[in-house]
Amino acid sequence: MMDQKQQIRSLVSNVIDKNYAAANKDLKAVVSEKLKKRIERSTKNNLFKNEQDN
Amino acid sequence: MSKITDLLKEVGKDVLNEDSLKQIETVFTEAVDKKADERATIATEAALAAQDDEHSTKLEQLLESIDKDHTKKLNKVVEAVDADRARKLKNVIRRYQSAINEEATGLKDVVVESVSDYLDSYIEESVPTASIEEATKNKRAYNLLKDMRKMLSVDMVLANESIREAVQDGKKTIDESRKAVEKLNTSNTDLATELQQTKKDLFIEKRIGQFDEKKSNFIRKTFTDKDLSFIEENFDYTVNMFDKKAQESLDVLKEEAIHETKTQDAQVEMVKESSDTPKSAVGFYAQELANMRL
Repeated sequence: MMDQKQQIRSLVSNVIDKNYAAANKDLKAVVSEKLKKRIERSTKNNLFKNEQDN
Repeated sequence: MSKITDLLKEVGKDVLNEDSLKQIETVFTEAVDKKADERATIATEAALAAQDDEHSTKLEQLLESIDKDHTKKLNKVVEAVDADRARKLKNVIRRYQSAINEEATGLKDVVVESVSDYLDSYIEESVPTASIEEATKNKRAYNLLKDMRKMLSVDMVLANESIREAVQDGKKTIDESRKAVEKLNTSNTDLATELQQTKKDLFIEKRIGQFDEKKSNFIRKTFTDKDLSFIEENFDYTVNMFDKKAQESLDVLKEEAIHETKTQDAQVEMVKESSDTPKSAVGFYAQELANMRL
Protein backbone atom coordinates (compact mmCIF):
# COMPACT_ATOMS: atom_id res chain seq x y z
CA MET A 1 0.00 0.00 0.00
CA MET A 2 1.29 3.38 -0.97
CA ASP A 3 2.19 6.05 1.52
CA GLN A 4 -0.22 8.99 1.63
CA LYS A 5 2.42 11.42 0.38
CA GLN A 6 3.30 9.05 -2.41
CA GLN A 7 -0.38 8.90 -3.35
CA ILE A 8 -0.59 12.71 -3.43
CA ARG A 9 2.55 12.79 -5.61
CA SER A 10 0.95 10.31 -7.95
CA LEU A 11 -2.25 12.39 -7.97
CA VAL A 12 -0.38 15.57 -8.92
CA SER A 13 1.63 13.74 -11.54
CA ASN A 14 -1.51 12.24 -13.09
CA VAL A 15 -3.26 15.62 -13.13
CA ILE A 16 -0.24 17.15 -14.90
CA ASP A 17 -0.24 14.31 -17.44
CA LYS A 18 -4.00 14.79 -17.92
CA ASN A 19 -4.52 11.19 -16.82
CA TYR A 20 -7.71 12.06 -15.01
CA ALA A 21 -8.97 8.52 -14.43
CA ALA A 22 -5.86 7.58 -12.47
CA ALA A 23 -5.90 10.99 -10.74
CA ASN A 24 -9.49 10.36 -9.61
CA LYS A 25 -8.48 6.98 -8.23
CA ASP A 26 -5.57 8.53 -6.34
CA LEU A 27 -7.76 11.32 -4.96
CA LYS A 28 -10.31 8.81 -3.71
CA ALA A 29 -7.58 6.78 -2.05
CA VAL A 30 -6.08 9.87 -0.36
CA VAL A 31 -9.44 11.14 0.93
CA SER A 32 -10.47 7.73 2.19
CA GLU A 33 -7.10 7.35 3.92
CA LYS A 34 -7.51 10.73 5.62
CA LEU A 35 -11.05 9.90 6.74
CA LYS A 36 -9.88 6.55 8.10
CA LYS A 37 -7.20 8.29 10.11
CA ARG A 38 -9.75 10.69 11.58
CA ILE A 39 -12.04 7.83 12.50
CA GLU A 40 -9.16 5.93 14.08
CA ARG A 41 -8.25 9.02 16.09
CA SER A 42 -11.80 9.48 17.35
CA THR A 43 -12.06 5.76 18.15
CA LYS A 44 -9.21 6.14 20.61
CA ASN A 45 -11.28 8.56 22.73
CA ASN A 46 -13.07 7.17 25.75
CA LEU A 47 -16.65 6.29 24.91
CA PHE A 48 -18.01 7.36 28.32
CA LYS A 49 -15.74 10.35 28.78
CA ASN A 50 -18.53 12.92 29.10
CA GLU A 51 -20.51 10.85 31.60
CA GLN A 52 -17.44 10.46 33.79
CA ASP A 53 -16.75 14.20 33.66
CA ASN A 54 -20.31 14.92 34.73
CA MET B 1 73.95 62.23 -92.45
CA SER B 2 72.67 58.78 -91.66
CA LYS B 3 74.08 55.52 -93.04
CA ILE B 4 71.06 54.78 -95.24
CA THR B 5 71.50 58.18 -96.89
CA ASP B 6 75.13 57.54 -97.48
CA LEU B 7 74.36 54.19 -99.02
CA LEU B 8 71.68 55.60 -101.27
CA LYS B 9 74.02 58.39 -102.32
CA GLU B 10 76.60 55.93 -103.13
CA VAL B 11 74.22 53.58 -105.01
CA GLY B 12 72.11 56.10 -106.80
CA LYS B 13 74.44 59.12 -107.20
CA ASP B 14 73.42 59.35 -110.75
CA VAL B 15 69.74 58.52 -110.38
CA LEU B 16 68.53 60.07 -107.19
CA ASN B 17 68.61 63.67 -106.33
CA GLU B 18 68.76 65.20 -102.89
CA ASP B 19 64.99 65.43 -102.37
CA SER B 20 64.43 61.87 -103.40
CA LEU B 21 67.06 60.79 -101.06
CA LYS B 22 65.55 62.74 -98.23
CA GLN B 23 62.12 61.34 -98.97
CA ILE B 24 63.41 57.79 -99.08
CA GLU B 25 65.30 58.38 -95.95
CA THR B 26 62.23 59.71 -94.23
CA VAL B 27 60.07 56.83 -95.40
CA PHE B 28 62.72 54.36 -94.42
CA THR B 29 63.23 55.94 -91.04
CA GLU B 30 59.53 56.01 -90.38
CA ALA B 31 59.19 52.41 -91.35
CA VAL B 32 62.07 51.42 -89.18
CA ASP B 33 60.75 53.45 -86.28
CA LYS B 34 57.37 51.95 -86.73
CA LYS B 35 58.75 48.48 -86.78
CA ALA B 36 60.92 49.20 -83.80
CA ASP B 37 57.93 50.54 -81.94
CA GLU B 38 55.93 47.45 -82.81
CA ARG B 39 58.73 45.20 -81.69
CA ALA B 40 59.17 47.16 -78.49
CA THR B 41 55.45 47.02 -77.83
CA ILE B 42 55.36 43.28 -78.42
CA ALA B 43 58.41 42.72 -76.24
CA THR B 44 57.01 44.92 -73.53
CA GLU B 45 53.70 43.16 -73.67
CA ALA B 46 55.40 39.80 -73.55
CA ALA B 47 57.51 40.88 -70.64
CA LEU B 48 54.49 42.29 -68.92
CA ALA B 49 52.54 39.11 -69.54
CA ALA B 50 55.41 37.06 -68.19
CA GLN B 51 55.65 39.34 -65.21
CA ASP B 52 51.93 39.11 -64.71
CA ASP B 53 52.07 35.35 -64.81
CA GLU B 54 54.94 35.29 -62.40
CA HIS B 55 53.27 37.72 -60.06
CA SER B 56 49.98 35.86 -60.33
CA THR B 57 51.69 32.63 -59.43
CA LYS B 58 53.46 34.27 -56.55
CA LEU B 59 50.29 35.96 -55.40
CA GLU B 60 48.39 32.71 -55.60
CA GLN B 61 51.07 31.01 -53.56
CA LEU B 62 51.01 33.89 -51.10
CA LEU B 63 47.25 33.74 -50.89
CA GLU B 64 47.36 30.01 -50.43
CA SER B 65 49.91 30.26 -47.67
CA ILE B 66 47.96 33.11 -46.02
CA ASP B 67 44.78 31.07 -46.36
CA LYS B 68 46.46 28.05 -44.86
CA ASP B 69 47.82 30.11 -42.01
CA HIS B 70 44.49 31.78 -41.39
CA THR B 71 42.68 28.48 -41.61
CA LYS B 72 45.08 26.95 -39.15
CA LYS B 73 44.68 29.89 -36.77
CA LEU B 74 40.93 29.93 -37.20
CA ASN B 75 40.77 26.22 -36.54
CA LYS B 76 42.70 26.77 -33.34
CA VAL B 77 40.39 29.64 -32.36
CA VAL B 78 37.32 27.53 -33.16
CA GLU B 79 38.68 24.65 -31.14
CA ALA B 80 39.44 26.95 -28.20
CA VAL B 81 36.02 28.60 -28.40
CA ASP B 82 34.38 25.19 -28.72
CA ALA B 83 36.23 23.89 -25.68
CA ASP B 84 35.37 27.00 -23.68
CA ARG B 85 31.70 26.92 -24.66
CA ALA B 86 31.54 23.19 -24.02
CA ARG B 87 33.02 23.67 -20.56
CA LYS B 88 30.59 26.48 -19.82
CA LEU B 89 27.67 24.48 -21.13
CA LYS B 90 28.71 21.55 -18.96
CA ASN B 91 28.73 23.88 -15.96
CA VAL B 92 25.29 25.16 -16.90
CA ILE B 93 24.03 21.58 -17.28
CA ARG B 94 25.50 20.62 -13.91
CA ARG B 95 23.96 23.69 -12.26
CA TYR B 96 20.53 23.02 -13.69
CA GLN B 97 20.72 19.33 -12.88
CA SER B 98 21.47 20.16 -9.26
CA ALA B 99 18.69 22.74 -9.31
CA ILE B 100 16.30 20.16 -10.70
CA ASN B 101 17.38 17.55 -8.19
CA GLU B 102 17.34 19.78 -5.11
CA GLU B 103 15.03 22.72 -5.69
CA ALA B 104 12.52 20.74 -7.69
CA THR B 105 12.42 18.10 -4.95
CA GLY B 106 11.78 20.79 -2.37
CA LEU B 107 9.11 22.34 -4.54
CA LYS B 108 7.51 18.95 -5.02
CA ASP B 109 7.40 18.41 -1.27
CA VAL B 110 5.85 21.85 -0.78
CA VAL B 111 3.20 21.10 -3.41
CA VAL B 112 2.43 17.75 -1.79
CA GLU B 113 2.13 19.39 1.64
CA SER B 114 -0.13 22.11 0.25
CA VAL B 115 -2.38 19.60 -1.46
CA SER B 116 -2.51 17.54 1.72
CA ASP B 117 -3.40 20.61 3.81
CA TYR B 118 -6.03 21.66 1.32
CA LEU B 119 -7.60 18.20 1.38
CA ASP B 120 -7.53 18.25 5.19
CA SER B 121 -9.31 21.59 5.33
CA TYR B 122 -11.81 20.50 2.69
CA ILE B 123 -12.59 17.29 4.58
CA GLU B 124 -12.85 19.24 7.83
CA GLU B 125 -15.32 21.59 6.18
CA SER B 126 -17.34 18.83 4.52
CA VAL B 127 -17.24 16.27 7.33
CA PRO B 128 -16.50 18.02 10.65
CA THR B 129 -14.47 16.12 13.24
CA ALA B 130 -17.32 16.45 15.73
CA SER B 131 -19.62 14.59 13.36
CA ILE B 132 -17.07 11.86 12.87
CA GLU B 133 -16.60 11.56 16.63
CA GLU B 134 -20.34 11.42 17.19
CA ALA B 135 -20.81 8.77 14.51
CA THR B 136 -17.93 6.77 15.93
CA LYS B 137 -19.39 6.99 19.41
CA ASN B 138 -22.79 5.90 18.18
CA LYS B 139 -21.31 2.98 16.33
CA ARG B 140 -19.21 1.94 19.30
CA ALA B 141 -22.13 2.29 21.68
CA TYR B 142 -24.29 0.27 19.33
CA ASN B 143 -21.69 -2.47 19.13
CA LEU B 144 -21.27 -2.41 22.89
CA LEU B 145 -24.98 -2.75 23.46
CA LYS B 146 -25.12 -5.52 20.91
CA ASP B 147 -22.37 -7.38 22.72
CA MET B 148 -24.04 -6.81 26.07
CA ARG B 149 -27.30 -8.14 24.76
CA LYS B 150 -25.57 -11.16 23.40
CA MET B 151 -23.73 -11.66 26.66
CA LEU B 152 -26.85 -11.30 28.78
CA SER B 153 -28.95 -13.29 26.32
CA VAL B 154 -31.46 -10.51 26.15
CA ASP B 155 -33.74 -10.36 23.19
CA MET B 156 -35.52 -7.25 21.99
CA VAL B 157 -38.77 -7.99 23.80
CA LEU B 158 -37.07 -8.39 27.15
CA ALA B 159 -34.91 -5.40 26.51
CA ASN B 160 -37.94 -3.29 25.85
CA GLU B 161 -39.89 -4.20 28.97
CA SER B 162 -38.61 -6.04 32.02
CA ILE B 163 -34.87 -5.70 31.53
CA ARG B 164 -35.06 -2.02 30.84
CA GLU B 165 -36.76 -1.45 34.20
CA ALA B 166 -34.32 -3.74 35.94
CA VAL B 167 -31.38 -1.96 34.40
CA GLN B 168 -32.81 1.42 35.32
CA ASP B 169 -33.49 0.19 38.83
CA GLY B 170 -30.00 -1.19 39.07
CA LYS B 171 -28.50 2.09 37.90
CA LYS B 172 -30.58 3.98 40.41
CA THR B 173 -29.48 1.63 43.19
CA ILE B 174 -25.85 2.00 42.14
CA ASP B 175 -26.13 5.79 42.13
CA GLU B 176 -27.77 5.80 45.55
CA SER B 177 -25.17 3.40 46.92
CA ARG B 178 -22.42 5.57 45.50
CA LYS B 179 -23.85 8.65 47.19
CA ALA B 180 -24.22 6.75 50.48
CA VAL B 181 -20.63 5.57 50.24
CA GLU B 182 -19.43 9.11 49.63
CA LYS B 183 -21.41 10.33 52.63
CA LEU B 184 -20.05 7.52 54.82
CA ASN B 185 -16.54 8.23 53.66
CA THR B 186 -16.88 11.89 54.60
CA SER B 187 -18.36 11.00 57.96
CA ASN B 188 -15.64 8.43 58.55
CA THR B 189 -12.94 10.96 57.76
CA ASP B 190 -14.48 13.48 60.15
CA LEU B 191 -14.76 10.87 62.88
CA ALA B 192 -11.19 9.75 62.39
CA THR B 193 -9.97 13.34 62.66
CA GLU B 194 -12.06 13.87 65.76
CA LEU B 195 -10.80 10.65 67.33
CA GLN B 196 -7.24 11.60 66.61
CA GLN B 197 -7.74 15.00 68.22
CA THR B 198 -9.42 13.43 71.25
CA LYS B 199 -6.64 10.91 71.69
CA LYS B 200 -4.11 13.68 71.45
CA ASP B 201 -5.91 15.83 74.01
CA LEU B 202 -6.35 12.86 76.33
CA PHE B 203 -2.69 11.98 76.12
CA ILE B 204 -1.61 15.54 76.81
CA GLU B 205 -4.07 16.00 79.65
CA LYS B 206 -3.00 12.73 81.25
CA ARG B 207 0.64 13.69 81.07
CA ILE B 208 0.32 17.29 82.23
CA GLY B 209 -2.01 16.53 85.15
CA GLN B 210 0.71 17.17 87.78
CA PHE B 211 2.30 20.19 85.97
CA ASP B 212 1.69 23.81 86.94
CA GLU B 213 -0.35 26.13 84.72
CA LYS B 214 2.56 27.74 82.84
CA LYS B 215 4.09 24.42 82.00
CA SER B 216 0.72 22.99 80.95
CA ASN B 217 0.03 25.98 78.72
CA PHE B 218 3.46 25.70 77.18
CA ILE B 219 2.99 22.00 76.46
CA ARG B 220 -0.47 22.60 74.96
CA LYS B 221 0.77 25.46 72.83
CA THR B 222 3.79 23.51 71.68
CA PHE B 223 1.82 20.51 70.51
CA THR B 224 -1.02 22.33 68.83
CA ASP B 225 -1.46 21.02 65.27
CA LYS B 226 0.88 18.09 65.90
CA ASP B 227 -0.21 14.47 65.50
CA LEU B 228 -0.25 11.93 68.32
CA SER B 229 2.82 9.98 67.28
CA PHE B 230 4.86 13.18 67.17
CA ILE B 231 3.62 14.19 70.61
CA GLU B 232 4.37 10.74 72.07
CA GLU B 233 7.83 10.82 70.64
CA ASN B 234 8.73 14.34 71.74
CA PHE B 235 6.75 14.90 74.93
CA ASP B 236 9.48 13.99 77.43
CA TYR B 237 12.07 15.91 75.51
CA THR B 238 9.89 19.04 75.49
CA VAL B 239 9.20 18.78 79.22
CA ASN B 240 12.91 18.37 79.95
CA MET B 241 13.75 21.34 77.79
CA PHE B 242 11.16 23.45 79.58
CA ASP B 243 12.48 22.41 83.00
CA LYS B 244 16.05 23.12 81.99
CA LYS B 245 15.22 26.56 80.67
CA ALA B 246 13.10 27.34 83.72
CA GLN B 247 15.97 26.34 85.95
CA GLU B 248 18.37 28.49 84.00
CA SER B 249 16.04 31.47 84.19
CA LEU B 250 15.65 30.94 87.94
CA ASP B 251 19.41 30.88 88.39
CA VAL B 252 19.82 34.06 86.42
CA LEU B 253 17.17 35.79 88.49
CA LYS B 254 18.79 34.66 91.69
CA GLU B 255 22.14 36.02 90.63
CA GLU B 256 20.61 39.29 89.56
CA ALA B 257 18.82 39.58 92.91
CA ILE B 258 22.03 39.00 94.78
CA HIS B 259 24.21 41.42 92.80
CA GLU B 260 21.78 44.23 92.06
CA THR B 261 20.17 45.43 95.25
CA LYS B 262 19.28 48.91 93.96
CA THR B 263 16.10 48.51 92.09
CA GLN B 264 16.02 52.24 91.08
CA ASP B 265 19.05 51.83 88.88
CA ALA B 266 17.87 48.55 87.50
CA GLN B 267 17.87 48.50 83.82
CA VAL B 268 14.87 47.01 82.25
CA GLU B 269 15.90 44.69 79.53
CA MET B 270 13.86 44.93 76.42
CA VAL B 271 12.46 41.61 75.40
CA LYS B 272 12.34 41.36 71.71
CA GLU B 273 9.82 39.02 70.22
CA SER B 274 10.95 37.26 67.21
CA SER B 275 8.46 36.35 64.56
CA ASP B 276 10.85 34.04 62.83
CA THR B 277 9.48 30.58 62.62
CA PRO B 278 12.08 28.00 63.67
CA LYS B 279 12.60 25.28 61.20
CA SER B 280 13.55 22.34 63.43
CA ALA B 281 11.64 20.87 66.37
CA VAL B 282 14.45 21.74 68.82
CA GLY B 283 14.51 25.30 67.57
CA PHE B 284 10.79 25.50 68.02
CA TYR B 285 10.99 24.41 71.68
CA ALA B 286 13.83 26.81 72.35
CA GLN B 287 11.82 29.61 70.82
CA GLU B 288 8.78 28.81 72.92
CA LEU B 289 10.89 28.67 76.08
CA ALA B 290 12.48 31.99 75.25
CA ASN B 291 9.06 33.54 74.74
CA MET B 292 7.87 32.23 78.12
CA ARG B 293 10.97 33.32 79.98
CA LEU B 294 10.38 33.00 83.71
